[in-house]
Amino acid sequence: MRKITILLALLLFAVSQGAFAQKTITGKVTSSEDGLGMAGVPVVVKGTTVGTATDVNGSFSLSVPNDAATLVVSFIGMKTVELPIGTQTVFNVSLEPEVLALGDVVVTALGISRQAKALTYATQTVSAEQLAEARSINPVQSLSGRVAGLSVTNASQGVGSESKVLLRGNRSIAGSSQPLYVIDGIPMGGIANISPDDIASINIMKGANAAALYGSRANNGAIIITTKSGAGLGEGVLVDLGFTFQASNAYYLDKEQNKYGQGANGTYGPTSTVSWGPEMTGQQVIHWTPDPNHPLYQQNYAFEAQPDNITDWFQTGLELATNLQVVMNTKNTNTALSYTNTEARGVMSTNNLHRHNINLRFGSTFKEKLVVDSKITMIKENVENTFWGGESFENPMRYLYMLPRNLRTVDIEQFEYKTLGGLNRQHGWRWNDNGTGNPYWSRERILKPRDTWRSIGMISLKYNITKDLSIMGRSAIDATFNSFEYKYYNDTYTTAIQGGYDKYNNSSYGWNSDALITYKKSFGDIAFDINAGANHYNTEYQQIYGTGRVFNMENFFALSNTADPRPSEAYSRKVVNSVYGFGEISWRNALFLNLTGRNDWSSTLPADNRSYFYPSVGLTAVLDELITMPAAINLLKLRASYAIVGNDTSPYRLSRTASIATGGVLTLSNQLPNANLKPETTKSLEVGFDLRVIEKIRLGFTLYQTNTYDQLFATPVPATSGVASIFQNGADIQNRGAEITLGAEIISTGDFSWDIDINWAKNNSEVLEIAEGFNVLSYGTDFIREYKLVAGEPFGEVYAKSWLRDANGNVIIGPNGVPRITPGMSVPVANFNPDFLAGMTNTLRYKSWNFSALIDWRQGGTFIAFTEAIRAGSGIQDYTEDFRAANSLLFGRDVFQGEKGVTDTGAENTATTNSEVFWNNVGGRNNPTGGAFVRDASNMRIREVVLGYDLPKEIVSKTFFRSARVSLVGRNLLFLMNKAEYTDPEIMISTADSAEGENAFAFPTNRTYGFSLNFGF
Amino acid sequence: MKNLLKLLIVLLIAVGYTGCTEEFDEINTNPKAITLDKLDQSNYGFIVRKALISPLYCASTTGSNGMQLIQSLHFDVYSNYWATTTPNFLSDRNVMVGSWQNGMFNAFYAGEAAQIKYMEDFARKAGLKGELAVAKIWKVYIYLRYTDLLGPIVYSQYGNMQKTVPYDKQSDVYKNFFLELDSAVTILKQNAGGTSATISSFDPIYQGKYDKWQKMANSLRLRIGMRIVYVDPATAKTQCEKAVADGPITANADNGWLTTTTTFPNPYNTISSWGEYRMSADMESICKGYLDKRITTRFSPAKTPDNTDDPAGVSFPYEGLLNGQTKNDRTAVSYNTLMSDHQPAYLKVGDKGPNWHVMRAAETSFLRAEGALRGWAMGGTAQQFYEDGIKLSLAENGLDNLNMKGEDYITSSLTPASPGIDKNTVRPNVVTDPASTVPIKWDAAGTLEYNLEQIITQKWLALFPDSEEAYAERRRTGYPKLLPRVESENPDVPREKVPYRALYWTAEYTNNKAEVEKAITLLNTESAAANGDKASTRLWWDKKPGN
Repeated sequence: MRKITILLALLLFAVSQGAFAQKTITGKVTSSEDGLGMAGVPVVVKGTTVGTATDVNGSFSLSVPNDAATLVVSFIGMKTVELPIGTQTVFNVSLEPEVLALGDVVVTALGISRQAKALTYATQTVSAEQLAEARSINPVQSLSGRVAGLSVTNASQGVGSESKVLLRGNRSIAGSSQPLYVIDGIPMGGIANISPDDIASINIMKGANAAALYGSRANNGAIIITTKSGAGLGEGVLVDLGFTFQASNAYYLDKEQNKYGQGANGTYGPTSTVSWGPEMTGQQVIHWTPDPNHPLYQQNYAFEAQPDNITDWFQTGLELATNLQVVMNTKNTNTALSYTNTEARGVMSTNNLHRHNINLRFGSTFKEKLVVDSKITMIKENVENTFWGGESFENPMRYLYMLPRNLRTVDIEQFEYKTLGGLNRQHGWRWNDNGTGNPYWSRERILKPRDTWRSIGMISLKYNITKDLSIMGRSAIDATFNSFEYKYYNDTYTTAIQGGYDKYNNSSYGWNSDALITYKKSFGDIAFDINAGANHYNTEYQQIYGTGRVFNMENFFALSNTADPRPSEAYSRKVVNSVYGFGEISWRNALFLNLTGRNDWSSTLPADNRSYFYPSVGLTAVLDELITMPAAINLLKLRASYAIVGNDTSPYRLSRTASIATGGVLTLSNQLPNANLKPETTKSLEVGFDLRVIEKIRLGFTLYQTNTYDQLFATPVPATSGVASIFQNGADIQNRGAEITLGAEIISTGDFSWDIDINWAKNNSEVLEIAEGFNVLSYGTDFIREYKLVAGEPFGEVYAKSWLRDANGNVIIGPNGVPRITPGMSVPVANFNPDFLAGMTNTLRYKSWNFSALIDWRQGGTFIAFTEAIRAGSGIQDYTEDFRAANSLLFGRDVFQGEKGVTDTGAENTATTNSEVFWNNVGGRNNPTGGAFVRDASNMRIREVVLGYDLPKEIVSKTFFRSARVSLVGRNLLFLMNKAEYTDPEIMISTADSAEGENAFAFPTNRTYGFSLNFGF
Repeated sequence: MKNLLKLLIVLLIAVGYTGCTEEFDEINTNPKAITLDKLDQSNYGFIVRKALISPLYCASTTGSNGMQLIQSLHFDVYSNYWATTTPNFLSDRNVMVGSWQNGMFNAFYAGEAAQIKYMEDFARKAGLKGELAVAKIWKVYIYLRYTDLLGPIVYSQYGNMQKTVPYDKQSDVYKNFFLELDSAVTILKQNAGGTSATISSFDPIYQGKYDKWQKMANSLRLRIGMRIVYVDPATAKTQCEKAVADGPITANADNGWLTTTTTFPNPYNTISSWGEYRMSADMESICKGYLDKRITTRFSPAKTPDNTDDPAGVSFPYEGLLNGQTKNDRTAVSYNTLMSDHQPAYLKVGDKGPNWHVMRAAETSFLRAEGALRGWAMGGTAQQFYEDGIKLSLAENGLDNLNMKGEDYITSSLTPASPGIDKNTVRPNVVTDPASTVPIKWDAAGTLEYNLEQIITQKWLALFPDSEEAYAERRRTGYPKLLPRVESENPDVPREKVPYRALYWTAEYTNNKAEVEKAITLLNTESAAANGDKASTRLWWDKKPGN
């Protein structure tokens, strides 16, 4: 590669050689790091094309015109050096590596870089290295623990799962509480499938304040991604090649009893789905197999515990990511090209992901007047089998976690068999039962492959009319095409006993166009920066869905092979036009006043209310520059800002409709729309300070409050009124919190350094008001819980059935020794909101070695463990092993110690029961007592560990590499504390709002470890 | 460079064209849905079709769910036609499951009831008289199900678009039923022989034929009239006699059936694959004792039949499960394999399946038998209508009048048999008694109660699979005598009984609390066993002593 560089440099300068030669200068270019000569470094006379490149030893010789004034030596990744020529003829140049000072410049709204010290609100930056090294397939997951006030919960769907990100808590009733993703200045649809290698930095703007200018969609904050462009790296060609290899294991936390097997009442039953059977002592029992060719068909086999029958099911997941990046910069252009290939297989067989990311970024400047930036990104992602989460009949976890304790892996991994008639059937221990299945069948014979194509295109033209005035036009499209299939083989019960096939395609795009005029001027101590712009946002979604059940020919997956294939369609479109302005007035570059204003016109609102204006104001004072401070204080900045953000709603919510369906029926919608909707409003106030002392300690502190009013949502009315809900404005949801970031260089010597970064955040969200006449709003109910908003309570109260208590709070026990249970889900038992979130990163460097460890801590918040309730009811959970003998279990003594049981009359309870009766009443799927399975979500884990080694320059320089780095990485290595014990509380069934804290048959966390190799050429 | 600058300015203007919102109304109109102001007579039929099909659960997947939540999990197990095999399903053990009842009433009130109301309101507004009559009959037919399940219901005030909706007491609902039927029959008599041009191709029951709808109205009046015999015998007599005078369904050719299609299939064809229920022990007991061939047209032989308890000389591979099995036993034993399922026509998922029952001649005949027994002018004797009812039912099932041994069914003195102990269960089915002891053969010397038991027992067999009506009649008359449940988990309902009613759904307590509380007062006021919103409170018409 270095040879190519030389060649290129020679080509570039060959023409100029000799023609104007009047004097010859010579010299040597060395690296300041190791003093060795650097080859291929361009040496040019400034403002001309006269130049050459250094040879293998770093030496050069160049003929220059007599009037040549300045010599420029620049090399990619190094600081450019300019030397006056004068009469000197020998130049020895030592180049220093260029370190981009990320902390000083922050990319903010509309892709504009701002001085960090001028910002009036809290932001936090995550660097590219941190993301790429210990990479996760979904870059969002790498943010966990790094940013104060940011929480990530993951959906349980295996490789390719979605994540839910919250900044400063939940605030939206019917919309999204998740932040907006902005890539290279333009709002985009998320970064889950963006290659971590393409990301230069991520800047998190936490409040509505930061994001007022992106409009409505940023009222939950914004995550601003800057991709690599090659800009700022100097001239030349830079090639990087990286390999990351990671392996994952299921971090299975749940625990089973291994004493009792299949059956009930202590009696064996070959078709039983529960483990309340007899003790397993190797006795002979009849085998369950329905396969006439199975050697044990209607034969006896030994009844023995199979402690590994659940964990046997998982495999080692693998991920191999290969990334090639080429940056080619000339004086006026920079071109960055990258390709990333990600091949991954999950800890579950069939859960394989293949992803290709191609990214081309091109920027050019013409006569310092016209600046062009452009980008094309293509992503192709294929997941061979994605999984259904939660309590779905298709989720293999549903069956795996409930495996009777005596079922042998060897028998169940044979998931199908041929009947005497030659038909392929599920090999299970119980036929056609609602809720029973072989997990291997679910994995291999219910398939949900997904193909995604995503393309992003962006062009931006900026014209500097004068030094102070510029105008910019920019347009970007983010388009996604998805293709899904659902394949159900024949004999998949409960849902497709005669097979089924669905196929659907959807496509969507978001198209943003902006125009922006910028004027900058300073008058003495006062500087102005005024911008005015307009935005046009257009988004469209369409879907066509075909579904068919019952195959004509078994297991041939085509819609035309199903008995009655049915099509359906979906379409939505929305347009928002906006004009906006923002300005900054600064005094002595130390006092900054920021003002913004934006007016939106949204197609989703009624004509009278579709135009809405929202402003923000922010003030920052860099005190250390305004008044004399003790020398130890390097920076003290105070900031305050207040913002209002308006928001619209989804399309088609203004008039009642009827929909037409197959078979010629019109169905009236059961929601009464509101023709007079108003926009919703978020008001946000934050104050804070940033402090840097003795150049080593950085402290940031922020207090905030946001209120979201006039939210647009459906309130339930009596269904008997003729509709189920009325769409309306209402609510006031308040979030208050504090965030602290603390960074310290503990040790910093030449060879050794130790840095600590700590972040801590607390958010209290409270539902102040819902709507007139409504104090409660139910989000959704499943068998174990109801997720509600209750006025006066924190966001997201979880209600469930619980113990029936007397006036003294004692648990009332029935005559059978089993607690009495409230008839409905009337007891508030859990709330997932954490008390605080914290993260700590320790980074140690010793010579070429570096080590960093991220500890992620979530304190507080509770949830109901549905998996555990079902497993307890099935006699599988470890603690169901005890007290199986009749009358051996006394509530309060043997289980739920600390509770006091009383009889209906209030006397101390002495009635006993046994484990089977007790857990059958308390646990199970359809009618469990949620209050008995509330778990603390507090946990602390080693989220990430990286040990890296840069090969010394002396060694590298002898090879054709520019640099080489090896790192060992690990993610989710260990729980330092996990109060939930049996499960990872951060894995939810989905990313839906109502799924907050909803645990049911989650996939285990992955413990990931691997290494990455990075080569620079 | 200048050109680029121009381009940039043009771009700026284009983007800056932001105040423009002219197309916004069009953009915010969903091209895949019709706004209500666009509906007229030309598409009225599409709403009618849905209004007729979906309350009978035959409309797509949601229909199947409604069917599961309403009929399968409630009527089917409280009529003892079927027993539940799924371990966690509690309604079979008499537990009132709130979430199912939420689903059941929401499906009706937020969906089906709106379609029915539109069907009626539009016909009235547009002056479509015949269609208005059909809408009224249909409204009565469907609301009867909900008032007979709850007592007071939202009926006259349905669809008021307010945040509170008052309930009507059951006696008022019934009063209005009769008035609506009066009004419908008057219109249809004026249109005798006619067919609705607007809905003929959308009516999957009677193709808009007014005479057939009139017969349906009169049969419905008979059904409703008889229901109140223990609370208001005078009105019951007047209404039933009026129904007979106007002409109810008398021949199987006039039976009301909803014609199923693959798009709107029989919902059992969807839910039967879920494996949640099997034939009841009562069905085994009665059919085995009576040697009733209807079991062969309705059920499949068990996968592993127990032939030790077959009647002498007859192969009887049908096995029934006692209701109210414990959760433990259901998890331990694969009852789905041991007990009889539906007959094959109901098991083919994706097939349109058998047509769905609405109202049939056999039922009217048994209603007239009961009326005659009570001395009303029904146009014949009790015995004659009883025997006709049996014949009509056998014929409807494609059977002759012989039993499994080839003897005459109607004159046989056979009584129900013991369902037997199932050798395959973990804990034996401890039942050895037959469900009842009543013979088929009409006993002309029998008491009214004895003959009534005969009538209702045969009516129970004839109504199958109309478990909704069988459950209502079981509560009204106490017949047929059926086996107790293995277990009741509801302290309000002993295992010998089934719930008298369902509870008001929790969503109403949240959204319409004051009114539902008033409804409970109305319920208590009219009840012979007033226990508030519980399964142990008897409905207004449920007044027969000892039930």
